[in-house]
Amino acid sequence: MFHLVTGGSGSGKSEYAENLIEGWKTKGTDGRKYYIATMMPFGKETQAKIARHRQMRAGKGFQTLECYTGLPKIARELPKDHNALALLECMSNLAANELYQEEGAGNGTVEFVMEGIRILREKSSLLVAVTNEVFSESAEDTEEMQRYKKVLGEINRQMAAMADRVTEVVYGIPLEVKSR
Amino acid sequence: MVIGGAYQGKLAYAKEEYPSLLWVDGKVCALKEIESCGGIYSFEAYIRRWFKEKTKNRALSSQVMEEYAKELSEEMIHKNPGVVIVCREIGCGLVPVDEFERGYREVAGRICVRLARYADHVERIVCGIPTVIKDTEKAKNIADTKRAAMEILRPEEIEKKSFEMISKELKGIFLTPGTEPIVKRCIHTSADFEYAQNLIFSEGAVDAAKKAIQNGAKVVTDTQMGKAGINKKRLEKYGGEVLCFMSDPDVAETAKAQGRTRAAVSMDKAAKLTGPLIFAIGNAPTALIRLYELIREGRVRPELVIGVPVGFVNVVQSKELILALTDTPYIVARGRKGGSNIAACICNALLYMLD
Repeated sequence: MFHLVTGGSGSGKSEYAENLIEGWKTKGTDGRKYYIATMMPFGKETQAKIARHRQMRAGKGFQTLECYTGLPKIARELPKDHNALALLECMSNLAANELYQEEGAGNGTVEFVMEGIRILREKSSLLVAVTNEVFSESAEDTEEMQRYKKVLGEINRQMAAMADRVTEVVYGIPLEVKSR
Repeated sequence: MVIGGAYQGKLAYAKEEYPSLLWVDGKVCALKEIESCGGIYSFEAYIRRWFKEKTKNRALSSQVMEEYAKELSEEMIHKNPGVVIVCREIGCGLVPVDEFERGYREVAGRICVRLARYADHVERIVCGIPTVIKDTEKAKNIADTKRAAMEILRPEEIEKKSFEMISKELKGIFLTPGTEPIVKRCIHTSADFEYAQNLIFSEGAVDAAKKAIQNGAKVVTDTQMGKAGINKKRLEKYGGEVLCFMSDPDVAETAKAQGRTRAAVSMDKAAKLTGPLIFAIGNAPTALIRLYELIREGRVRPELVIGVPVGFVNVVQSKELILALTDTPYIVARGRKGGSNIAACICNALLYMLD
Protein backbone atom coordinates (compact mmCIF):
# COMPACT_ATOMS: atom_id res chain seq x y z
CA MET A 1 0.00 0.00 0.00
CA PHE A 2 1.32 3.39 -1.01
CA HIS A 3 -0.48 6.31 0.59
CA LEU A 4 0.34 9.86 -0.45
CA VAL A 5 -0.54 12.60 2.05
CA THR A 6 -0.58 16.22 1.04
CA GLY A 7 -1.66 19.47 2.64
CA GLY A 8 -0.59 23.03 3.34
CA SER A 9 1.62 24.36 6.07
CA GLY A 10 0.25 23.70 9.56
CA SER A 11 -2.54 21.52 8.17
CA GLY A 12 -1.95 18.58 10.53
CA LYS A 13 -0.71 16.32 7.73
CA SER A 14 2.25 14.96 9.72
CA GLU A 15 0.08 13.82 12.58
CA TYR A 16 -2.35 12.24 10.15
CA ALA A 17 0.50 10.43 8.37
CA GLU A 18 1.92 9.08 11.61
CA ASN A 19 -1.50 7.83 12.64
CA LEU A 20 -1.72 5.92 9.35
CA ILE A 21 1.41 4.01 10.31
CA GLU A 22 0.11 3.44 13.84
CA GLY A 23 -3.27 2.28 12.58
CA TRP A 24 -1.68 -0.07 10.08
CA LYS A 25 0.37 -1.64 12.83
CA THR A 26 -2.62 -2.44 14.96
CA LYS A 27 -4.12 -4.26 11.99
CA GLY A 28 -1.55 -6.97 12.63
CA THR A 29 1.33 -6.30 10.25
CA ASP A 30 4.18 -5.90 12.62
CA GLY A 31 6.98 -4.65 10.39
CA ARG A 32 9.84 -2.36 11.33
CA LYS A 33 8.94 1.31 11.27
CA TYR A 34 11.21 3.69 9.42
CA TYR A 35 10.99 7.44 9.46
CA ILE A 36 12.81 8.91 6.50
CA ALA A 37 13.69 12.45 7.50
CA THR A 38 14.53 14.91 4.76
CA MET A 39 14.83 18.23 6.55
CA MET A 40 18.40 19.47 6.88
CA PRO A 41 19.06 20.83 10.37
CA PHE A 42 20.17 24.28 9.24
CA GLY A 43 19.57 27.10 11.67
CA LYS A 44 17.61 27.35 14.90
CA GLU A 45 14.13 27.39 13.36
CA THR A 46 14.52 24.17 11.40
CA GLN A 47 16.14 22.54 14.41
CA ALA A 48 13.13 23.50 16.52
CA LYS A 49 10.80 22.15 13.83
CA ILE A 50 12.73 18.89 13.73
CA ALA A 51 12.61 18.71 17.53
CA ARG A 52 8.82 19.15 17.47
CA HIS A 53 8.36 16.36 14.95
CA ARG A 54 10.69 14.12 16.96
CA GLN A 55 8.58 14.75 20.02
CA MET A 56 5.42 13.86 18.10
CA ARG A 57 6.99 10.56 17.07
CA ALA A 58 8.56 9.77 20.44
CA GLY A 59 7.55 6.41 21.82
CA LYS A 60 6.07 5.28 18.53
CA GLY A 61 9.08 3.08 17.77
CA PHE A 62 10.36 4.67 14.60
CA GLN A 63 13.90 4.16 13.39
CA THR A 64 14.95 7.46 11.87
CA LEU A 65 16.89 7.43 8.61
CA GLU A 66 18.29 10.78 7.55
CA CYS A 67 17.93 11.31 3.84
CA TYR A 68 18.72 14.79 2.63
CA THR A 69 19.59 13.51 -0.83
CA GLY A 70 20.03 10.10 -2.45
CA LEU A 71 16.74 8.38 -1.64
CA PRO A 72 17.40 5.39 -3.98
CA LYS A 73 20.57 4.46 -2.08
CA ILE A 74 18.83 4.57 1.32
CA ALA A 75 15.88 2.63 -0.05
CA ARG A 76 18.18 -0.06 -1.45
CA GLU A 77 19.87 -0.48 1.92
CA LEU A 78 16.62 -1.36 3.69
CA PRO A 79 16.19 -5.07 4.50
CA LYS A 80 14.30 -7.03 1.87
CA ASP A 81 11.49 -8.38 3.99
CA HIS A 82 8.78 -6.37 2.18
CA ASN A 83 7.26 -5.84 5.57
CA ALA A 84 8.53 -2.40 6.50
CA LEU A 85 6.31 0.52 7.44
CA ALA A 86 7.96 3.60 5.97
CA LEU A 87 7.07 7.23 6.49
CA LEU A 88 8.82 9.72 4.21
CA GLU A 89 8.58 13.32 5.33
CA CYS A 90 8.61 15.63 3.52
CA MET A 91 8.92 15.53 -0.25
CA SER A 92 9.08 19.34 -0.45
CA ASN A 93 12.42 19.23 1.40
CA LEU A 94 13.81 16.27 -0.48
CA ALA A 95 13.01 17.87 -3.83
CA ALA A 96 14.65 21.15 -2.75
CA ASN A 97 17.73 19.31 -1.49
CA GLU A 98 18.12 17.36 -4.71
CA LEU A 99 17.67 20.51 -6.76
CA TYR A 100 19.99 22.81 -4.84
CA GLN A 101 22.52 20.77 -2.88
CA GLU A 102 25.88 20.16 -4.47
CA GLU A 103 25.55 16.38 -4.24
CA GLY A 104 21.92 16.54 -5.39
CA ALA A 105 20.48 15.28 -8.65
CA GLY A 106 19.90 18.76 -10.06
CA ASN A 107 18.04 18.59 -13.34
CA GLY A 108 17.47 14.87 -12.91
CA THR A 109 15.61 15.36 -9.60
CA VAL A 110 12.21 14.07 -10.70
CA GLU A 111 13.47 10.77 -12.15
CA PHE A 112 15.93 10.25 -9.32
CA VAL A 113 13.41 10.80 -6.53
CA MET A 114 10.79 8.65 -8.26
CA GLU A 115 13.29 5.79 -8.54
CA GLY A 116 13.73 6.01 -4.76
CA ILE A 117 9.96 5.98 -4.23
CA ARG A 118 9.57 2.92 -6.45
CA ILE A 119 12.21 0.96 -4.48
CA LEU A 120 10.75 2.07 -1.16
CA ARG A 121 7.29 1.03 -2.22
CA GLU A 122 8.50 -2.39 -3.25
CA LYS A 123 10.15 -2.96 0.10
CA SER A 124 7.36 -1.88 2.37
CA SER A 125 3.93 -3.20 3.24
CA LEU A 126 2.94 0.42 3.83
CA LEU A 127 4.66 3.47 2.43
CA VAL A 128 3.32 6.84 3.49
CA ALA A 129 4.84 9.82 1.70
CA VAL A 130 4.09 13.33 2.92
CA THR A 131 4.26 16.17 0.46
CA ASN A 132 3.24 19.78 0.50
CA GLU A 133 0.68 21.93 -1.25
CA VAL A 134 2.75 24.97 -2.23
CA PHE A 135 0.98 25.78 -5.44
CA SER A 136 -1.60 28.36 -4.44
CA GLU A 137 -0.27 31.68 -3.28
CA SER A 138 -0.52 35.27 -4.28
CA ALA A 139 3.17 36.14 -4.18
CA GLU A 140 4.83 36.45 -7.59
CA ASP A 141 7.20 33.54 -8.29
CA THR A 142 10.80 34.12 -9.25
CA GLU A 143 12.20 31.91 -11.99
CA GLU A 144 13.88 29.74 -9.38
CA MET A 145 10.65 29.32 -7.43
CA GLN A 146 8.84 28.42 -10.63
CA ARG A 147 11.42 25.75 -11.38
CA TYR A 148 11.08 24.29 -7.90
CA LYS A 149 7.29 24.22 -8.02
CA LYS A 150 7.39 22.58 -11.42
CA VAL A 151 9.66 19.83 -10.11
CA LEU A 152 7.65 19.23 -6.94
CA GLY A 153 4.39 19.35 -8.91
CA GLU A 154 5.75 16.75 -11.31
CA ILE A 155 6.88 14.50 -8.45
CA ASN A 156 3.51 14.88 -6.73
CA ARG A 157 1.64 13.94 -9.89
CA GLN A 158 3.81 10.90 -10.53
CA MET A 159 3.52 9.76 -6.92
CA ALA A 160 -0.24 10.22 -6.99
CA ALA A 161 -0.48 8.18 -10.19
CA MET A 162 1.42 5.37 -8.50
CA ALA A 163 -0.31 5.67 -5.11
CA ASP A 164 -3.14 3.45 -3.92
CA ARG A 165 -4.52 6.30 -1.89
CA VAL A 166 -4.09 10.06 -1.92
CA THR A 167 -5.37 12.22 0.93
CA GLU A 168 -5.33 15.96 1.31
CA VAL A 169 -5.39 17.09 4.93
CA VAL A 170 -7.21 20.39 5.49
CA TYR A 171 -7.03 21.74 9.04
CA GLY A 172 -6.74 18.22 10.39
CA ILE A 173 -9.62 16.91 8.26
CA PRO A 174 -8.61 14.20 5.77
CA LEU A 175 -10.14 14.60 2.31
CA GLU A 176 -9.92 11.61 0.03
CA VAL A 177 -8.46 12.54 -3.34
CA LYS A 178 -7.89 9.03 -4.66
CA SER A 179 -8.62 5.54 -3.43
CA ARG A 180 -8.36 2.18 -5.10
CA MET B 1 -16.17 27.25 9.56
CA VAL B 2 -16.14 28.37 5.97
CA ILE B 3 -12.69 28.07 4.44
CA GLY B 4 -11.02 28.26 1.04
CA GLY B 5 -8.69 30.33 -1.12
CA ALA B 6 -8.99 34.05 -1.76
CA TYR B 7 -11.91 35.38 -3.86
CA GLN B 8 -13.74 32.06 -3.93
CA GLY B 9 -17.03 33.44 -2.62
CA LYS B 10 -16.59 32.35 0.99
CA LEU B 11 -18.17 35.39 2.61
CA ALA B 12 -21.06 35.61 0.16
CA TYR B 13 -21.83 31.96 0.86
CA ALA B 14 -21.53 32.37 4.63
CA LYS B 15 -23.80 35.41 4.66
CA GLU B 16 -26.37 33.50 2.66
CA GLU B 17 -26.17 30.55 5.04
CA TYR B 18 -26.28 32.69 8.18
CA PRO B 19 -28.29 35.80 7.18
CA SER B 20 -29.03 37.13 10.64
CA LEU B 21 -25.55 37.01 12.16
CA LEU B 22 -23.73 40.00 13.45
CA TRP B 23 -20.52 39.98 11.40
CA VAL B 24 -17.21 41.63 12.15
CA ASP B 25 -14.28 42.12 9.79
CA GLY B 26 -11.08 40.43 10.98
CA LYS B 27 -9.01 43.07 9.21
CA VAL B 28 -10.27 45.95 11.34
CA CYS B 29 -12.37 44.76 14.30
CA ALA B 30 -11.18 45.24 17.86
CA LEU B 31 -9.33 42.13 19.02
CA LYS B 32 -11.79 41.82 21.92
CA GLU B 33 -14.72 41.47 19.52
CA ILE B 34 -13.77 37.85 18.87
CA GLU B 35 -15.52 37.07 22.17
CA SER B 36 -18.87 38.58 21.26
CA CYS B 37 -19.33 38.58 17.49
CA GLY B 38 -21.76 36.25 15.74
CA GLY B 39 -19.43 35.71 12.82
CA ILE B 40 -15.99 36.85 11.75
CA TYR B 41 -14.67 37.06 8.21
CA SER B 42 -11.08 37.56 7.11
CA PHE B 43 -10.22 35.52 10.18
CA GLU B 44 -6.71 34.99 8.76
CA ALA B 45 -6.22 38.77 9.00
CA TYR B 46 -7.45 38.70 12.58
CA ILE B 47 -4.93 35.99 13.42
CA ARG B 48 -2.20 38.08 11.79
CA ARG B 49 -3.03 41.12 13.93
CA TRP B 50 -3.45 39.07 17.07
CA PHE B 51 -0.16 37.28 16.39
CA LYS B 52 1.65 40.57 15.77
CA GLU B 53 0.35 41.91 19.07
CA LYS B 54 1.44 38.75 20.87
CA THR B 55 4.89 38.41 19.40
CA LYS B 56 6.04 41.97 20.03
CA ASN B 57 9.58 41.60 21.31
CA ARG B 58 9.27 37.88 21.63
CA ALA B 59 11.40 35.34 19.83
CA LEU B 60 9.43 32.76 17.90
CA SER B 61 9.93 29.10 18.60
CA SER B 62 7.95 26.06 17.73
CA GLN B 63 6.84 25.73 21.32
CA VAL B 64 5.77 29.36 21.61
CA MET B 65 3.66 28.98 18.48
CA GLU B 66 1.96 25.92 19.88
CA GLU B 67 1.13 27.97 22.99
CA TYR B 68 -0.30 30.77 20.88
CA ALA B 69 -2.38 28.37 18.83
CA LYS B 70 -3.76 26.84 21.98
CA GLU B 71 -4.42 30.21 23.58
CA LEU B 72 -6.48 31.80 20.82
CA SER B 73 -8.38 28.65 19.82
CA GLU B 74 -9.30 27.78 23.41
CA GLU B 75 -10.31 31.31 24.20
CA MET B 76 -12.67 31.31 21.24
CA ILE B 77 -14.09 27.89 22.05
CA HIS B 78 -14.58 28.92 25.66
CA LYS B 79 -15.99 32.42 25.18
CA ASN B 80 -17.72 32.25 21.83
CA PRO B 81 -18.45 28.62 21.04
CA GLY B 82 -21.17 29.39 18.48
CA VAL B 83 -19.11 31.74 16.31
CA VAL B 84 -19.07 31.32 12.54
CA ILE B 85 -15.59 31.72 11.09
CA VAL B 86 -14.78 32.63 7.52
CA CYS B 87 -11.08 32.06 6.91
CA ARG B 88 -8.80 32.08 3.90
CA GLU B 89 -6.43 29.14 3.63
CA ILE B 90 -2.95 30.62 3.57
CA GLY B 91 -0.74 27.57 4.02
CA CYS B 92 -0.48 26.41 0.44
CA GLY B 93 2.54 28.34 -0.81
CA LEU B 94 6.30 28.26 -0.56
CA VAL B 95 7.85 28.92 2.84
CA PRO B 96 7.97 32.70 3.34
CA VAL B 97 11.44 34.23 3.66
CA ASP B 98 10.43 36.58 6.45
CA GLU B 99 10.47 35.08 9.94
CA PHE B 100 7.25 36.71 11.11
CA GLU B 101 5.42 35.62 7.96
CA ARG B 102 6.64 32.04 8.41
CA GLY B 103 5.49 32.06 12.02
CA TYR B 104 2.14 33.61 11.16
CA ARG B 105 1.45 31.04 8.45
CA GLU B 106 2.32 28.19 10.78
CA VAL B 107 0.32 29.48 13.74
CA ALA B 108 -2.72 30.24 11.54
CA GLY B 109 -2.67 26.62 10.37
CA ARG B 110 -2.46 25.28 13.89
CA ILE B 111 -5.21 27.55 15.18
CA CYS B 112 -7.52 26.40 12.39
CA VAL B 113 -6.67 22.72 12.99
CA ARG B 114 -7.77 23.19 16.59
CA LEU B 115 -10.91 25.12 15.67
CA ALA B 116 -11.85 22.61 12.95
CA ARG B 117 -11.50 19.78 15.47
CA TYR B 118 -14.05 21.58 17.66
CA ALA B 119 -16.30 22.79 14.84
CA ASP B 120 -19.63 21.11 14.09
CA HIS B 121 -19.47 22.05 10.48
CA VAL B 122 -16.64 22.87 8.07
CA GLU B 123 -17.21 23.82 4.45
CA ARG B 124 -14.57 24.50 1.84
CA ILE B 125 -15.41 26.86 -1.00
CA VAL B 126 -13.76 26.40 -4.39
CA CYS B 127 -14.94 28.63 -7.26
CA GLY B 128 -17.99 29.56 -5.26
CA ILE B 129 -18.98 25.93 -4.82
CA PRO B 130 -19.17 24.65 -1.24
CA THR B 131 -18.05 21.16 -0.21
CA VAL B 132 -18.89 19.95 3.27
CA ILE B 133 -15.69 18.46 4.68
CA LYS B 134 -16.94 17.98 8.22
CA ASP B 135 -20.47 17.64 9.51
CA THR B 136 -21.09 16.46 13.04
CA GLU B 137 -24.85 16.56 12.52
CA LYS B 138 -24.57 14.27 9.51
CA ALA B 139 -22.31 11.88 11.42
CA LYS B 140 -24.92 11.81 14.19
CA ASN B 141 -27.67 11.15 11.69
CA ILE B 142 -25.73 8.26 10.20
CA ALA B 143 -25.29 6.80 13.67
CA ASP B 144 -29.00 7.28 14.34
CA THR B 145 -29.84 5.44 11.13
CA LYS B 146 -27.58 2.58 12.11
CA ARG B 147 -29.15 2.53 15.56
CA ALA B 148 -32.62 2.37 13.99
CA ALA B 149 -31.54 -0.56 11.82
CA MET B 150 -30.30 -2.56 14.82
CA GLU B 151 -32.45 -5.42 15.90
CA ILE B 152 -33.01 -5.22 19.65
CA LEU B 153 -33.86 -8.59 21.16
CA ARG B 154 -35.46 -9.48 24.44
CA PRO B 155 -32.94 -10.42 27.17
CA GLU B 156 -33.53 -14.18 26.91
CA GLU B 157 -33.40 -13.99 23.13
CA ILE B 158 -29.99 -12.27 23.24
CA GLU B 159 -28.44 -15.19 25.09
CA LYS B 160 -30.17 -17.73 22.89
CA LYS B 161 -28.96 -16.01 19.74
CA SER B 162 -25.42 -15.73 21.12
CA PHE B 163 -25.31 -19.46 21.71
CA GLU B 164 -26.67 -20.12 18.25
CA MET B 165 -23.91 -18.00 16.76
CA ILE B 166 -21.29 -19.78 18.87
CA SER B 167 -22.60 -23.23 17.83
CA LYS B 168 -22.53 -22.16 14.21
CA GLU B 169 -18.93 -20.99 14.41
CA LEU B 170 -17.91 -24.13 16.29
CA LYS B 171 -19.19 -26.38 13.53
CA GLY B 172 -16.61 -29.03 12.69
CA ILE B 173 -14.70 -28.65 15.96
CA PHE B 174 -14.87 -31.71 18.20
CA LEU B 175 -15.96 -31.16 21.78
CA THR B 176 -15.98 -33.97 24.32
CA PRO B 177 -19.62 -35.01 24.83
CA GLY B 178 -20.99 -33.57 28.04
CA THR B 179 -18.57 -30.64 28.09
CA GLU B 180 -20.22 -28.58 25.33
CA PRO B 181 -22.38 -26.32 27.55
CA ILE B 182 -19.30 -25.36 29.59
CA VAL B 183 -17.08 -24.66 26.58
CA LYS B 184 -19.81 -22.67 24.89
CA ARG B 185 -20.50 -20.61 27.98
CA CYS B 186 -16.79 -19.77 28.32
CA ILE B 187 -16.83 -18.59 24.71
CA HIS B 188 -20.06 -16.72 25.42
CA THR B 189 -18.37 -14.92 28.32
CA SER B 190 -15.14 -14.07 26.53
CA ALA B 191 -15.92 -14.16 22.76
CA ASP B 192 -12.72 -16.20 22.60
CA PHE B 193 -12.98 -19.40 20.60
CA GLU B 194 -9.64 -20.65 21.92
CA TYR B 195 -11.59 -22.10 24.83
CA ALA B 196 -12.80 -24.77 22.42
CA GLN B 197 -9.21 -26.02 22.40
CA ASN B 198 -7.66 -25.08 25.71
CA LEU B 199 -10.27 -26.29 28.21
CA ILE B 200 -9.08 -29.61 29.62
CA PHE B 201 -11.56 -31.81 31.50
CA SER B 202 -10.39 -34.75 33.59
CA GLU B 203 -12.44 -37.84 32.95
CA GLY B 204 -15.84 -37.66 34.61
CA ALA B 205 -15.16 -34.17 35.95
CA VAL B 206 -18.50 -32.76 34.80
CA ASP B 207 -20.53 -35.58 36.36
CA ALA B 208 -18.54 -35.43 39.58
CA ALA B 209 -19.08 -31.67 39.81
CA LYS B 210 -22.81 -31.93 39.13
CA LYS B 211 -23.14 -34.57 41.82
CA ALA B 212 -21.16 -32.45 44.29
CA ILE B 213 -23.40 -29.45 43.70
CA GLN B 214 -26.47 -31.59 44.25
CA ASN B 215 -24.92 -32.71 47.52
CA GLY B 216 -24.66 -29.10 48.67
CA ALA B 217 -21.01 -28.45 47.83
CA LYS B 218 -19.45 -25.14 48.85
CA VAL B 219 -17.64 -23.18 46.16
CA VAL B 220 -14.39 -21.47 47.15
CA THR B 221 -13.08 -18.64 44.95
CA ASP B 222 -9.79 -16.73 44.99
CA THR B 223 -11.39 -13.35 44.23
CA GLN B 224 -14.48 -11.42 45.33
CA MET B 225 -15.07 -10.86 41.63
CA GLY B 226 -15.32 -14.58 41.02
CA LYS B 227 -17.68 -14.89 43.96
CA ALA B 228 -19.85 -12.06 42.66
CA GLY B 229 -20.19 -13.74 39.27
CA ILE B 230 -21.54 -17.05 40.50
CA ASN B 231 -25.31 -17.56 40.53
CA LYS B 232 -25.77 -17.93 44.26
CA LYS B 233 -29.55 -18.35 44.10
CA ARG B 234 -29.13 -21.52 42.03
CA LEU B 235 -26.37 -22.79 44.25
CA GLU B 236 -28.41 -22.19 47.40
CA LYS B 237 -31.21 -24.25 45.88
CA TYR B 238 -28.95 -27.28 46.44
CA GLY B 239 -27.80 -26.09 49.87
CA GLY B 240 -24.43 -24.75 48.73
CA GLU B 241 -22.78 -21.37 49.16
CA VAL B 242 -19.88 -19.37 47.74
CA LEU B 243 -16.95 -18.51 50.00
CA CYS B 244 -14.02 -16.20 49.44
CA PHE B 245 -11.50 -15.58 52.21
CA MET B 246 -9.38 -13.00 50.41
CA SER B 247 -10.67 -10.05 52.44
CA ASP B 248 -10.60 -11.81 55.82
CA PRO B 249 -8.43 -9.99 58.38
CA ASP B 250 -6.89 -13.23 59.70
CA VAL B 251 -5.87 -14.23 56.17
CA ALA B 252 -4.28 -10.84 55.58
CA GLU B 253 -2.42 -11.04 58.90
CA THR B 254 -1.03 -14.52 58.33
CA ALA B 255 -0.07 -13.67 54.76
CA LYS B 256 1.85 -10.60 55.92
CA ALA B 257 3.57 -12.45 58.74
CA GLN B 258 4.63 -15.36 56.54
CA GLY B 259 5.42 -13.31 53.44
CA ARG B 260 2.97 -15.31 51.33
CA THR B 261 0.07 -14.24 49.15
CA ARG B 262 -3.40 -13.94 50.65
CA ALA B 263 -4.57 -16.26 47.91
CA ALA B 264 -2.29 -19.05 49.14
CA VAL B 265 -3.25 -18.49 52.79
CA SER B 266 -6.95 -18.50 51.93
CA MET B 267 -6.48 -21.98 50.45
CA ASP B 268 -5.14 -23.14 53.85
CA LYS B 269 -8.26 -21.70 55.46
CA ALA B 270 -10.52 -23.37 52.91
CA ALA B 271 -8.84 -26.75 53.51
CA LYS B 272 -10.30 -26.71 57.01
CA LEU B 273 -13.87 -26.58 55.70
CA THR B 274 -16.06 -29.62 55.99
CA GLY B 275 -18.35 -31.12 53.36
CA PRO B 276 -17.90 -31.33 49.59
CA LEU B 277 -15.80 -28.51 48.09
CA ILE B 278 -15.39 -27.02 44.65
CA PHE B 279 -12.46 -24.65 44.09
CA ALA B 280 -12.93 -22.01 41.42
CA ILE B 281 -9.55 -20.33 40.90
CA GLY B 282 -9.55 -17.68 38.19
CA ASN B 283 -6.89 -15.30 39.31
CA ALA B 284 -4.01 -16.39 41.51
CA PRO B 285 -1.47 -19.03 40.46
CA THR B 286 -0.26 -19.01 44.08
CA ALA B 287 -3.72 -20.25 45.16
CA LEU B 288 -3.56 -23.03 42.62
CA ILE B 289 -0.02 -24.02 43.63
CA ARG B 290 -0.99 -24.11 47.32
CA LEU B 291 -4.10 -26.10 46.50
CA TYR B 292 -1.94 -28.62 44.61
CA GLU B 293 0.31 -29.01 47.68
CA LEU B 294 -2.66 -29.44 50.02
CA ILE B 295 -4.14 -32.11 47.75
CA ARG B 296 -0.78 -33.92 47.48
CA GLU B 297 -0.45 -33.84 51.28
CA GLY B 298 -3.94 -35.29 51.59
CA ARG B 299 -5.21 -32.30 53.57
CA VAL B 300 -8.05 -31.51 51.21
CA ARG B 301 -10.07 -33.59 48.75
CA PRO B 302 -11.95 -31.30 46.36
CA GLU B 303 -14.84 -32.65 44.31
CA LEU B 304 -13.63 -30.35 41.51
CA VAL B 305 -10.78 -27.91 40.88
CA ILE B 306 -11.53 -25.19 38.33
CA GLY B 307 -8.03 -23.98 37.45
CA VAL B 308 -8.30 -20.97 35.17
CA PRO B 309 -5.97 -18.18 36.38
CA VAL B 310 -5.09 -15.62 33.75
CA GLY B 311 -1.74 -13.98 33.18
CA PHE B 312 1.96 -14.52 32.92
CA VAL B 313 3.96 -15.33 36.05
CA ASN B 314 3.60 -19.03 36.93
CA VAL B 315 0.16 -19.10 35.36
CA VAL B 316 0.89 -21.80 32.79
CA GLN B 317 3.02 -23.79 35.27
CA SER B 318 0.45 -23.75 38.09
CA LYS B 319 -2.20 -25.15 35.74
CA GLU B 320 0.15 -27.92 34.62
CA LEU B 321 0.41 -28.97 38.29
CA ILE B 322 -3.34 -29.49 38.44
CA LEU B 323 -3.26 -31.40 35.15
CA ALA B 324 -0.79 -33.78 36.78
CA LEU B 325 -3.28 -34.77 39.50
CA THR B 326 -4.76 -38.22 39.04
CA ASP B 327 -7.48 -38.57 41.66
CA THR B 328 -8.87 -35.03 41.60
CA PRO B 329 -11.50 -34.00 39.06
CA TYR B 330 -10.48 -30.78 37.31
CA ILE B 331 -11.42 -28.31 34.59
CA VAL B 332 -8.32 -26.36 33.50
CA ALA B 333 -7.85 -23.66 30.88
CA ARG B 334 -4.44 -24.60 29.56
CA GLY B 335 -2.12 -21.70 28.75
CA ARG B 336 -2.29 -18.06 29.77
CA LYS B 337 -5.98 -17.43 29.33
CA GLY B 338 -8.70 -17.53 31.94
CA GLY B 339 -9.88 -15.14 34.64
CA SER B 340 -12.32 -14.77 37.51
CA ASN B 341 -15.15 -14.31 35.02
CA ILE B 342 -14.24 -17.63 33.38
CA ALA B 343 -14.09 -19.37 36.78
CA ALA B 344 -17.55 -18.04 37.64
CA CYS B 345 -18.87 -18.88 34.20
CA ILE B 346 -17.80 -22.52 34.52
CA CYS B 347 -19.60 -22.76 37.88
CA ASN B 348 -22.72 -21.25 36.35
CA ALA B 349 -22.57 -23.57 33.34
CA LEU B 350 -22.52 -26.52 35.74
CA LEU B 351 -25.46 -25.07 37.70
CA TYR B 352 -27.51 -24.51 34.55
CA MET B 353 -26.79 -28.07 33.38
CA LEU B 354 -28.60 -29.32 36.46
CA ASP B 355 -31.94 -27.72 35.52
